[in-house]
Amino acid sequence: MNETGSPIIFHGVNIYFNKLAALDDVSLEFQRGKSTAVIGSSGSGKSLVLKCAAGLIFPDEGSITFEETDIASMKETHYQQMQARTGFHFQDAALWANKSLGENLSLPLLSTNPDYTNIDLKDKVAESFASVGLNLDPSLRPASISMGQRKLVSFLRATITRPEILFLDDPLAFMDREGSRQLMAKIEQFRDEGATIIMATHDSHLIKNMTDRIMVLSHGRLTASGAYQDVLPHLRELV
Amino acid sequence: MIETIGFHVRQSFKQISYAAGFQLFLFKETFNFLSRRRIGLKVLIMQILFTGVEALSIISLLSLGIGAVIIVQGAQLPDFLLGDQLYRILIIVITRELGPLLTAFVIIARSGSAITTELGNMVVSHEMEAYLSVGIHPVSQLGVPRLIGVSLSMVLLTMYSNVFGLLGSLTVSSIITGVRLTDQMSALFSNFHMIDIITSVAKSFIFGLIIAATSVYYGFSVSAAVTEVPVKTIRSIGMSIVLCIIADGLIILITVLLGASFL
Repeated sequence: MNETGSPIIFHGVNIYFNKLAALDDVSLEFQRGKSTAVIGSSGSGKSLVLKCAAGLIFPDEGSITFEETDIASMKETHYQQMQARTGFHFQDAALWANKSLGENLSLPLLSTNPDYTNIDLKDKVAESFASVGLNLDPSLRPASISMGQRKLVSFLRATITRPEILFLDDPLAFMDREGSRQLMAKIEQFRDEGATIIMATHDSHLIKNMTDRIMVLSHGRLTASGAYQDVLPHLRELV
Repeated sequence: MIETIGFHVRQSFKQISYAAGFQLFLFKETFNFLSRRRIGLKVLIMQILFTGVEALSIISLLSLGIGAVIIVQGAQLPDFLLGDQLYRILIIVITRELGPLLTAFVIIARSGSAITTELGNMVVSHEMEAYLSVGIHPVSQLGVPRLIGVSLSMVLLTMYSNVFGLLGSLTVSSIITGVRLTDQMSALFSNFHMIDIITSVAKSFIFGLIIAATSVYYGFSVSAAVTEVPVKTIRSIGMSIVLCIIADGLIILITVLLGASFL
């Protein structure tokens, strides 16, 4: 296994929606232990890049490899192992509406270790809520809390198993100032612990202060890539 | 023209291959379900509660009413209510045919449509992707418990429907002929054959599998828009009804070919 290189590599990826290219011949690499921001205007394909990298959507053409294995042709157990090592924070939270907040956080834990007892799960959920200052009853359903709170719970769901690679799809959307502050502190903590962070964002603070590398997308094509200073001309138009 | 036909043929072939692959995966995962301990168990319990338990009142009311109507209509025929033939007719009509089919239609309308709608909405709100992101296949987590839950509930509800259908018939027959209900019941039991029960259980189980597999498939086939959900739900209901009727015909044919006694 390549411990320092690129765990996820895109090789000429094309994705079409109704015959239109949503991703057009995208080739890129995400560096291990680095924080990368994927930026671009709305509809440029940022979320799609994240979902493809996380193995949630497969390309129509080209391939995406996770540690040198093509994700689309992975065996089920290998795919599950990959997912156990990654976490995905969705733009619209995507909490399971028919499950309680506690169950939303317990399921990823049970998926990685079915031996957790109910007491273990309860403790982990309480600990997780406390880590972002959420004072919520875990038996509540997602519909009964605000969108900002849902986003925080969604972040906790993505990170409760301490993944090595964290995908953040517009993490600060719908968040108030206090929620954003807490979320950024948690993202920073993960970055400092050496996690690979891949995020789609418009937030200038995140882009400037929390990313090692920036990739710019336009109409599904990768138009620029590099450090903050290198892509500054593109950023002025987008952020 | 030829190009358009070719395109549609290719699309249809793709759809059929995808549907077949999906069903194979669903059934394969069903065998793995018992080895996965806690994940999906709650979904199974909720499905049995919704499909099996909450439908009891409507099934009993419908079966009781239809059982009674068979006798009211049949009583207009000469000698219909006289002799053991009445009991065989009731057993064949209610236990072998009406019970499984009536229950299937109620389950299609109630649970099949609910499954397609719920799963379709989950696709739209990215909840399926969220399952994938935590290493759980949504078909295993959501499809398999529904397949098992609906199939088991179908068998139990069909038995329940049979009991109420026969009870409705015998009660009305007892009122019309003046023969005591208990005497009618013992005569009915003495006319029961094992093949009646086997046919009823087999049909209800197969209908359950068809309804669940079809509803789950259409739920997962929603791609992105909320507007697709009602369209897929309508297709799921129509397809479930058609497949259940085809399966019913095939089971009757198999029973006849195997030489099972109908009367």
